[in-house]
This record gives sequence, structure tokens and C-alpha cells, in this order.
Amino acid sequence: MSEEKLLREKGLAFFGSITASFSHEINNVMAIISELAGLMEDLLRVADQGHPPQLERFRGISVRIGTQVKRGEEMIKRLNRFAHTMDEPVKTIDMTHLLVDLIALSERLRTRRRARMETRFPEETILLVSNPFRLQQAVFSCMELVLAASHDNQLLRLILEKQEGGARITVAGEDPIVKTDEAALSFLPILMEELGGKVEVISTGNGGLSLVLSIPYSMPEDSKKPIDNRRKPYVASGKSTV
Amino acid sequence: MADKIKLLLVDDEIQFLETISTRLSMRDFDVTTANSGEEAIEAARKQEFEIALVDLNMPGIGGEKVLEILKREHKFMEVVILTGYGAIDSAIRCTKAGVYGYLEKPCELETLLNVLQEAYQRRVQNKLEFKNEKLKKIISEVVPGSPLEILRKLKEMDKELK
Repeated sequence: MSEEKLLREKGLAFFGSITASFSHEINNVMAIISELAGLMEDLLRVADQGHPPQLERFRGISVRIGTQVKRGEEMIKRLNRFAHTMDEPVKTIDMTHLLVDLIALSERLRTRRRARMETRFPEETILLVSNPFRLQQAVFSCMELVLAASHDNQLLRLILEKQEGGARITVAGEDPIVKTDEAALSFLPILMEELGGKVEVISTGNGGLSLVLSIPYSMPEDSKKPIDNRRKPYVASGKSTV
Repeated sequence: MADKIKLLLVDDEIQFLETISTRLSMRDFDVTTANSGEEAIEAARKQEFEIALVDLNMPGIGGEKVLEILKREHKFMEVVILTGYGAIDSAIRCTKAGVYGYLEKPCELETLLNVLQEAYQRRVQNKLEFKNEKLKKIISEVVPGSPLEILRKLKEMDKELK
């Protein structure tokens, strides 16, 4: 498969995975609200039968509905921001904001593996001119790879740092590697090359998987254009530090 | 008052678990909640449940595996899946594993109650069929004219079915 096709297919798969996971979460919120509304009806029916209305329970349910509505709104906003990352192939990105959104978007991925998350962001703002969708895809792929490499209940570390010429993102697992997804690992250099960056695979002190992404301040000129608008077919050099 | 139906409710979404548990408790169900597959399997080993209502997508042991283990370890327990993530392939796998019903969230309580009632009905039917089969076997195996032996076997069967 050509690298253009691979980039397109993996991009779609990432988009699908995030939207499926988020629609599932939103559905959960709807199910909770539906049950809470049903519980209110149950309590009203009891009151209609002559029992004193349980006002405190009504207040409690009302608060819980409010909490779920806020939770749903927040999810929809994040999903909407994520969908808009596809609007422009290149834009100025505040890396902390991008990663905070991605952490929320990937919550289900971590919950399913019962992973804890530790983050470290710099105090200064790091602005990059890059492709926000592909950047999120790269970091999400790293999270998937690290989580899949070991058992459940892992501690996942995400570190954003400024480095000469751009930024560095480290995604690392605490536990020793049990298995690696070679296909996903071999796609990362292609994706990083598209962003003008590179990926390094490092083993942590206790044998855990650590992936370090180096991203330049600005993407290569050719990569700034949508794949379809490039004058000559895009051919990645295939070189990587992996 | 009649005994309540012992229901095991399994979901990793605690708010959902609490609310639906309250609603079913108001309708003559004796509900025990578990917020993971592991907890559900453990709870079913400690006490007997007649029906289990199980979510599919949970961290750790997922709903399909819970269904498989519950059906293997508890002969007459009926399992109903209640999921926010319904799909044909998983519904087929669950059917093969002996699920009674496969519902999607959000689900109207009336629909859920109907499925729970039908599941309980199947449990009673299965128990009766099992009892009949066993009775036929006892009668065919024992030597004609030994009422004491038949009585002993019937007593054993009665004990087993309690």
C-alpha cells in the first residue's frame, strides 16, 4: 500500500475510533439521564398514591441530571473541536491545549486498560505550525502502543517539553514490555515524517516502552498541502530512527 | 409477600448502576450491583442469582466473557445484555453463548421488565424440563418394583433442585 493511502486509511481509522468511543460515552450519559427521569416519574407515581413527596430525593436527582448534562456538553464540545482539527491541514497550535483535549478524548482507551495517567506540561506556551489532526493521531498512536505493550493497570506518562527547533512529546509506560504491535510501530515514522518530525523508541529503566516524538516548529512546505493537492506524488524517504 | 427475584446488575458506569438499581428495587427485584466483570463473577459465586443484567464494554473482564462464565457456572441463571454499544457480531456471539436478551441503552423500563419477565419464565421452564428429564431417567433406571430406591432417588433430586 502506498504511503499516501496508508496515511489516509490510518487517519480515517483514528477518526473513527475517537468518534465511536465518544458517541459511546455520550450514549452512556443519555442512558443515565433517561434513567434519572424515569426515577423521577417513579417517585411522582408513589406521591400520587398518597405518600408524602420525597423532595430531597427530587433535589438530588435534579443535581445528578445537571451534572450529566454538563458532562455531555463537555464531551460534545471536545468532539466538535476534534472534528474541526480536520478543517485545515496546517495551523498554529498551542500544544498544551491540543494535548489536554487529546487526554480527554482518549479517556476510554485508558479506562478500558485501567491505566492511570501522569502528565507534565511546561509553564511556557509552545506554539507549533503543524497539522493538528495528525499530531493528535501520532500521540494517540503512542498511547495505544504503550498501553498494548504491557498489562492492565499501567501508569502512562505524557510529557511535553520545548526543545531546540520545536517540541518533544514523550509517551511512556511503567511496566515491562510484554508484546509490541509491530504494524502500528512501523507506521509511526511515516506519520512523523509527514509532520517533519521523528520518533524514537526507547526502553525505560524497568523495561517499559517509551516513545519520543520530536516535532519541528513548522511542518515541511509540501506536507502543508492536503495530500490531493500536492504537485508530485508524496514519497516518504522511509528513514526513521526506530 | 412473594420472594423477590434475585438480580445481579453489572455495569462500570456507577451512576447508571445506582439509578437503574433503585428503579428495579422499587419493582420487587432484590438487586445486587457489581461495577466490573470480576466483581460480578465473584458475587455470583457467593450467592445465587436468578437473572443477571450485564453491560458489554467494561474494563477488565468484558460482558461477553462474564456471560460465558456465568452460564458455565450457574446452570439456571439467565443473562440479559444491556449495552450502549450494540453490534450484530457481538449479538451473535452472545446468542451462541446462551444469552436470553440483548438490549441497547437507553432502554425503556417497560421493555426491560418484559425481557426480565421472559428470562425468568425461561429459567422456570428450564428447571421444570430438567426435573422432568431427571424423573424419567430415575424411573427408567431403577428396577421395577423397588419403591424405596425410587423414593431415595426422588429425594436426592428434590434436594438438588432446591
